[in-house]
Amino acid sequence: MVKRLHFIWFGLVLSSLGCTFARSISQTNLPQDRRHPIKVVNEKLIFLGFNFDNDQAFKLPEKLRNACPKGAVQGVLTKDLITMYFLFFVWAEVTRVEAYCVNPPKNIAQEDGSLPDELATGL
Amino acid sequence: MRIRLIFLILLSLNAVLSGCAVLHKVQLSDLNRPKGKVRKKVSIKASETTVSLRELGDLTRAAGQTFKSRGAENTGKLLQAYTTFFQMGPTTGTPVFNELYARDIPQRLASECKNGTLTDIISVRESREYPVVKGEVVRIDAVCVTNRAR
Repeated sequence: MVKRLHFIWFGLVLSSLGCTFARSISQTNLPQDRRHPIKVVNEKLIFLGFNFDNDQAFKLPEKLRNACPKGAVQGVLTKDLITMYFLFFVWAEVTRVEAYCVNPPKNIAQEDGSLPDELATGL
Repeated sequence: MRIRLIFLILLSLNAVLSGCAVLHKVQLSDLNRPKGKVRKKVSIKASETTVSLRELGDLTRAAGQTFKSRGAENTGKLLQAYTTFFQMGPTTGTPVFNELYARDIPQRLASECKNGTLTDIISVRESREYPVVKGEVVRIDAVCVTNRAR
């Protein structure tokens, strides 16, 4: 009985450990104003490869907008990872996004809160 | 017994027809606030259907061994050898004959947002995987900001 419990415990510990692979990493231009870093994570668990859509990825811009409602999000680092769990029965598709929320300066922002083109495009 | 058989057939059909979606890469652009009052969501998709010669070779060889057909077994071996020599190295998805399907993406994006600025661009590279047949897909979502509604 004790042996069986040890076995179950060992299995649980092993299944909680994962190996992470970075599938792709991309970075956009860094802004000068880097005072407000933001982070967003998207995660989806997949069992035995049964995955019928990747629509979760398209929620990332909305999550970033929610994290920075009044500013521009620049210097976006997108890390696309996959974490494999015990015996690869279950894995997680993880997308971590780190960026900077650049608030429009009050003296430059226009009436509707938007930035002039040259500032909005980060040039 | 019959119910079990019907259930198994339905399950197999579901597995074959629904196809698994494999995510390869996600890339995000800056989320700017360009000048303009109207925000319109833009979504485009480019895809190419291809055949996995490796899977085809495996299946043909297995079928040849099962049904004692030397010809099918040799064809399977030939396909496996072809993929070993000519489809080696790192790949994203299954090889396709050419990348022409993804060439006009900038033009398509531009035509969806005439006189506007595109921001919030998210590019997703994924595959639809059926047995032997694969769909290599590029999906791009963005927001088009313009001054007037079209």
